[in-house]
Amino acid sequence: MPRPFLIRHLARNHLQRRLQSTVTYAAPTDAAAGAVPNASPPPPPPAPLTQEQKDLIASMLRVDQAGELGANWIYKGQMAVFENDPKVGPVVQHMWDQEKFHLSTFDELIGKNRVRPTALRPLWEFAGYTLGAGTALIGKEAAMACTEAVETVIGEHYNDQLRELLKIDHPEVAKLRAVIKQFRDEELEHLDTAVVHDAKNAPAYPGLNAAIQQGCRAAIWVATRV
Amino acid sequence: MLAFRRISTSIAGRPAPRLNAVAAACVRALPIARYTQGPGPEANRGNIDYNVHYRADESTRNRPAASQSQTQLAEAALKHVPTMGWTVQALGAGAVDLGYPTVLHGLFPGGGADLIDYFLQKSKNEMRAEMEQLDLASMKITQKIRTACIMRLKLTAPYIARWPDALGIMAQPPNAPMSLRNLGELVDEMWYLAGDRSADLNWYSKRTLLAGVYTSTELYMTQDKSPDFQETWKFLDRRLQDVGTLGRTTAEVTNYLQFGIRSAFGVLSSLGHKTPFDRR
Amino acid sequence: MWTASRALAFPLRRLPGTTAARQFHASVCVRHAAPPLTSPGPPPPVHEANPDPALPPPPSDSTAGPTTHFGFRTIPEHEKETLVGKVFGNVAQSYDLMNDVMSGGVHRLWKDHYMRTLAPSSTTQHLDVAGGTGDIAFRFLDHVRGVTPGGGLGTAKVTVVDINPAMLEVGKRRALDLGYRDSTHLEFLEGNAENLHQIPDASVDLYTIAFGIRNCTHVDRVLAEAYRVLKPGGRLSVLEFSSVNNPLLGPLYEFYSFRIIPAMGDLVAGDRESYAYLVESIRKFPAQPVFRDMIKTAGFKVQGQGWEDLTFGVAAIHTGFKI
Repeated sequence: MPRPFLIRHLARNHLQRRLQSTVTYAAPTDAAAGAVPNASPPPPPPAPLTQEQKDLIASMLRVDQAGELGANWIYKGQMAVFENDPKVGPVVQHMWDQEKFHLSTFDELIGKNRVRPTALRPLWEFAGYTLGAGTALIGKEAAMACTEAVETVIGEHYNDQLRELLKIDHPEVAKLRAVIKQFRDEELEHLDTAVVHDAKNAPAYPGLNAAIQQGCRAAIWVATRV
Repeated sequence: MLAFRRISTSIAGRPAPRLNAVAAACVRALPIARYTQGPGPEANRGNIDYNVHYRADESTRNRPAASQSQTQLAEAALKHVPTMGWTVQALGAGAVDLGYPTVLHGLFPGGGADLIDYFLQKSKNEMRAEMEQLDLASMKITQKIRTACIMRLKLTAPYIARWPDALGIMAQPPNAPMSLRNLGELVDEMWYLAGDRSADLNWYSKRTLLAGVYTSTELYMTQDKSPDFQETWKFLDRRLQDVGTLGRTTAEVTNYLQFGIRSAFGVLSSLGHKTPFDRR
Repeated sequence: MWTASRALAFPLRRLPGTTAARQFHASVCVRHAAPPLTSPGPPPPVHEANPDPALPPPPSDSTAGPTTHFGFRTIPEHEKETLVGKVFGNVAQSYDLMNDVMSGGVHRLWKDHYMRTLAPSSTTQHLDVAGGTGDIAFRFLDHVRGVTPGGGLGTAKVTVVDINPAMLEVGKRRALDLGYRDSTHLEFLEGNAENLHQIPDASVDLYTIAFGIRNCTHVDRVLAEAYRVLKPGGRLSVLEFSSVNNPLLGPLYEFYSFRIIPAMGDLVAGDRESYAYLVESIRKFPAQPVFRDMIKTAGFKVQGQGWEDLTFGVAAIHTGFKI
């Protein structure tokens, strides 16, 4: 068994234990796979989305945009510190590149679907950058602990959204589910990466973890509304 | 640290919870690149359709359209607005034209304000329909915005003598939400037609600036006595020039913010702390 | 205070129908067994005063044929009209005064608002049902004068229909005081809201019934008659007490209705039981959405939610259009 696989496997176990209590980690995955249309019966035309459903999806896109903004600027802040670090630098850069794609995707979806973007963009940028650079200054482990905490909350958050979106039977929503599922998997890979890179060895790890997670949840609460 | 190294050298017989630490210790021994090169979830990206388009052609706040009877009544009432103003009486006269008693005005419980609301929604939709006839792709953004403003203002022209009344009604506190909602929807529609898909603070600044341009031009138009509102269109051009810097504003905000963060770290640095910018 | 009102409850005995009165007591007792009103502190509800121990248990409803409610009593349908008639016969003389006292004058604001909302014109043919004392009719005429250039009445006309001659007498007297001597613009008719045989089909622009419909035996028949007499495009507008849904004000309003108003009826009009009936009939009247649906069922088109709450829903204006 090649080592990277073993590591990922172990980290995944760890992750599942973490998320088990609050999130049905696998359920949305399986059901989202059902979005692939069944070929056999002639598909009835989808019921048009109601205004409530449209508003719900709009607020989801808005909060996702805010979240990806924050994540981008966290990695940007970390990279300001780790830029010349030959070991950590490429790891963070890799994750950042993925986040850049997430953000550009949501930016595009928001423009295309005429969703009002988040009004607190500068706040998320500032908060993300400060958090990223701040934890990176404490050290590599703290930066990874920060990544772990943030990606845990984002993973939960995407799972919550997937569960809500599963209630809506509409081809466009199925596409959106696939996008969110993809991004969730990538965020959880970041979480694996962070754990593998000694996130747990950060100074004051439990407090740091709890503080960042609560901060992220508060930010989501705000971003859903503004 | 030392403890972890020791664990990694003797895996056998260790309790399961330690395995994570073992794995962490293992990976530290490897070049980082090995891990990141593995086929992660990113490999699946090509299979995803990112072109989600769940909301096609409506404004950000779509409202239930007027019922058929309301539409009939309002259209009949609009004919009386130039003489009777935006009033319950105009609605009553419209009802009489349709062969109904005047009390049918109750279909619009808000009276004149509801009639204005109807007119604003209808005009916005007409403006969009007219704009969609044009070859928008060949036009510049400012040109599209200018055309949209003129098209929309021309729809107000038949009622221009009574428009100050309407502005007065719209400015009353109970009607302010209705007025602002309609203005917001109008400028949103204009920017959408102009091809704007911004998802950052430009979204806000563009709409705010255009709302200012539109309302001031509309106000100017109520006083304009020139033939075919020539002076109004000139006024509009001047306003559009004033805000020619559309979009730059927010870029400046962001720059300022980054500057602020760097300055803060600069202060830390001067106090002897290590900062991300020391490496430069 | 409590003993006083107990003692004052006696004159109520003059209300008709001892059997009905017995049922009345029974149903009131049942109602007050409900949790909100059984707190040990406050005095027992006024209508429990002096239940006659010798009375036999009330007969079951099944023997009585179709029944309806009279306040909280269940009575045979054919009795309601008579009983309501007696109530209004009792209160006619002091009706408007009592309204002022009970609502602190708010009913005037409601009625003013009502007429502003209806906004009739100098051509409006108005039928005001259950409007004997002319409260709505005079407001109609005032409004028409206000919106007609020159202050005339044009061809506007209001017909007041009331089942109760005593109430009509009050209205006629006020009309004379106000100078309306002929029937060009104002007419009083004795008639039943459930059968407006004097009014031709499709002859009315505006049908109003203010604080009257809950006293009618068959609300559905009233609405059907309204539909019949209205012209196409005409408006039905019902001003009626309704349901307060505010959790803070609800109990307060409950207390006021059941404790204060009957006592005031006693003090001001010397008639507790008639006012107790008024309060109870308010509570028996369907809540806003239910009544809105009844209006729809009668064939009217309802715009939006179909009603406007006044003072947190103490009263509501329901609207339907014949289109």
